[in-house]
Amino acid sequence: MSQENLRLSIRDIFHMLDNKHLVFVMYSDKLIKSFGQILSRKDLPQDLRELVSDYIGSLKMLKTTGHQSDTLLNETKPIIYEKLNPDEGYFDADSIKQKLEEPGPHFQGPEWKE
Amino acid sequence: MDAQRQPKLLIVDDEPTIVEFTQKIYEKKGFITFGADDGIKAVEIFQKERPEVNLIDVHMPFSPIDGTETLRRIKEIDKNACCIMVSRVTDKERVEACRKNGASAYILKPFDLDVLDNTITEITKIQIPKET
Repeated sequence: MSQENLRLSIRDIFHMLDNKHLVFVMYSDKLIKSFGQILSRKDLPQDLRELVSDYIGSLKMLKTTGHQSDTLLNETKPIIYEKLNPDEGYFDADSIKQKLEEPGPHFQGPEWKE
Repeated sequence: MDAQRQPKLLIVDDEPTIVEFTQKIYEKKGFITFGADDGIKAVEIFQKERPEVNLIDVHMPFSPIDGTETLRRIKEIDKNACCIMVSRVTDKERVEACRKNGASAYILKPFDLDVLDNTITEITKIQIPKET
């Protein structure tokens, strides 16, 4: 199959979403471990200790959110698969790839800043 | 890990971020890593490098062959190849096909890095250092 004609199904799109959740979980997990190592240093000043603890807390929240998003997606799948053919190619792969490479609206300029 | 005995790890996933990230992590842990974003490239790398561990995503819509077929072709080259499949709870049929094709194990997405370390150690007996 040529890449130009590649069509993606709902199952494929959900798989891509699964991967995005995995990236969330893996990266936050890695950073939690790295910051955990910094936190274990006995010579760490108290102000930095508090800052690193705060980072770890935020990263744990991100990791939990990644897992929760995944749980919600899994709950949704069977209902959608029942209504629509999960293997029919509804989406143009090139178009999806292009959209994923576009920066989001929050990157566009100062007018989006609070 | 002894430099002369550095184990090789092949990561096969159609999400490049996952491939790059996993490569970085396991290089720090003493592995020589290879990445492939499709099954055809993976089989070529396997043929040449014969990695001790092959981590293969089951569902790869952007790849000409999916993870199950990648596994089958690798096993055709070396029936003793250690292949760990990465899949979803909802991929039961595919997981079963992988088991029949000789997969050593499968882990479910999204997984923690400790789960991957433990699975590799359990199957290959390669001791993986904790966070470096």
